[in-house]
This record gives sequence, C-alpha cells and structure tokens, in this order.
Amino acid sequence: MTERVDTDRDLVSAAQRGDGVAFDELVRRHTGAMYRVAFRILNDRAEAEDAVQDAWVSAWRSLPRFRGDAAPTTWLYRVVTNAALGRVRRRRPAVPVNTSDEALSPLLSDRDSGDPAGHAVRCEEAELVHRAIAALEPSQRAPLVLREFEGMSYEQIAEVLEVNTAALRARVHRARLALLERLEEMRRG
Amino acid sequence: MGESSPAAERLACGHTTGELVEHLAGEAAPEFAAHAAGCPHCSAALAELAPGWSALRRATEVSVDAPSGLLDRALRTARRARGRESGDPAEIPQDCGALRVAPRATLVLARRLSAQLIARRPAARLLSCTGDGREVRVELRVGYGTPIPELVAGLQAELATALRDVLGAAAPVVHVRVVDVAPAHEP
Repeated sequence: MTERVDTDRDLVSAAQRGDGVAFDELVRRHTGAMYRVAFRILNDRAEAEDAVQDAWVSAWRSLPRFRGDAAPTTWLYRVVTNAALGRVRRRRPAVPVNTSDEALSPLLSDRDSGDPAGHAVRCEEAELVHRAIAALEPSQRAPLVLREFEGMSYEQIAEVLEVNTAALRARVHRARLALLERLEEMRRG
Repeated sequence: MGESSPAAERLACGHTTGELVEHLAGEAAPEFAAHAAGCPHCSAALAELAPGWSALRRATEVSVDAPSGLLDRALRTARRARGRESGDPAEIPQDCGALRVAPRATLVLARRLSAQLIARRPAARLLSCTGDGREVRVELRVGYGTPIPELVAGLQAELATALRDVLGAAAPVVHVRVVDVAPAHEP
C-alpha cells in the first residue's frame, strides 16, 4: 500500500472495481456529515443512525450505477437524504408538534443584543428549531436543511434532490416561511 | 407537489413577508433592502420575523456530532453489505472434484497468518483483520519512526503469498492499512 491522500473520486472509482478498503475510507470520511443531515431531517438520533446505515448499504448497491456526473459528496447527500425521507414516510402519522408549550417561549426571544447565551441554552434552542423543522412537510425539510445548515448552493441542492433550480428555490422559500410561522407560534406560546 | 404553502402575507406597502424572508436570508435585491430600511410596514414585519430567523441562524452554529460508535457500526454494516455479495465459497480444483472454502474459513486463515507474520515485526501490532472470501483488510498500529511503506509492502506481499500457498487462485486480495502510530517503544 502506498501512502497517499485519495480524492473522493479516486475512492469511488476504486470501490467500483471492488476495493472494499476504498469504500471503508468513504465511510470514514462522510459518516459524520451524513448523520448530521439525517438527524436534522428526522430529529431522532436512533432513526438518524439507522438512516445512515441504510444509506451506506444503498451507496454500496448503487455504486455500479454511479457515473461520476455528480460529485461523490452530492451522490452521498442524495443517498442519505433519500434514506432519511424514506424513514419519515414510513413513520406512522406523527403526533402534531406541541407549539403551545409555554416553557419554550423564552428560548425563542431575540437574544442578539442580550447577554451571551450559555451553551446549554443554545442547544435547547437548536433542539426547538429541529422540532419545528420536523413538523414541516417532508418535501420541505431536506431543501431547508441542505440550504441553511449545510450551506449548499441552490444548484448543488437541485442536483442532490434531482429537481430543477427554479422549483428548488420555490421549495426553500416555502420551507423558510413555514418554519418561521411555526417558530413564531412557539415564541408566542 | 401537494405541499401546504404558508401564505406570504402582503403588507400595506405592497411587498410581501416572503420578500422579507429573502431579505433576512441575504437573497433579496439591493433595492428591496433600501426600501425595507425606510418602510414602517416592512420594519414592523421584520421585527416579527427576526426572532425566529435569529433562532434558525444560531441553531446552524450548534454542531450535531455523530454518536460514538456510529462509525464502527457503519463500517460493519457496509462490510456486511459487501460480504453478502461476495459470500460464495472459494473453489479449489482437486483431482476428484472441487474443494470449497467458506469465506469465514478464509478469514480465520488470514487472521492466523497475519498474527504470525506481524509477530516477527516488533514495530507493528495487529489491530484487526476483517474481510471475506474476496478480500482481507489488515489494520496495524506502528511505532513512531517506523518506515511505513516498507513495512506495509513487505507484510502485504508475505500475507498474499502465504494465502496463495494455501488457497491457490482462490486466495483473497490483501489490503494492509496503518491506522495508528504509537510511541516508538510500544507499538
């Protein structure tokens, strides 16, 4: 084995030739990011873990069909997004998110100009935002997560979700409005 | 698509809350930003939207770390997926038929041979030997200062030869990987 830093494309090509070690390296490099996306779509740690594992099985199976038109990361984002959304769709109808919890209201006050928030409070606030995302239509969650949390461009997200950019922009726009509406409901208690 | 779409409320100035959200996201046209800065209707609506938007921005800064052990579980899952597709026994032609060697037996053999070969190299320690009938992955820790390319190439060649001696053409591909470096005196 020669010591070298392989690109994701090198690793995918090697994995397509049956090199399991190369595929393991992809798993090492991308499991963290894939978990992050799955968790933000599902808002459930155990389900996000399962989605990541489903995603790697799907990735291995779909390797022969990967032609390299998209970047490997785009392909992996697509695989994990589909795995997470598949789990959302297989869930039983969800209990509506309780947006009237009075205890949540102070967490959404605008603290930009106030005292610096402690880490624990920030985490709680993030949890609340994740809950609000989890209450969105499944088709709105992935675009919102990829745009706002992963910082991807509209063009990249359109490739991941296999939709055209104009449709994607409209979907992100609707998702933002829906999210802010839910957060405002929470803020008002 | 059948998505429910929250209404983008039209304000008295003729603009919409949708435009304000684009403004918050930094995606509105500069002319709109100039308008919003001086418009009382937009300012009032922005004051309503800002807390939620700020909460979203702050949430993006909170890291989501993968649970400990997920990487190992993901690696095992990926290897199982590969194993299912390469789980056929190896066939070694014999005078009176074919000898079949199950992937598990190949792996046990590879583990024993790896252990023997690494025992002769005090600068290396065997951490794992995994795989199936088609490929074997050996992971090592080496002592600091060990010339890794020579060590890895030598071990890979010796293990591949040893497996070929036993399994012939049915021998798996061998991959050797250094995954850790320890202080020189304790690999």
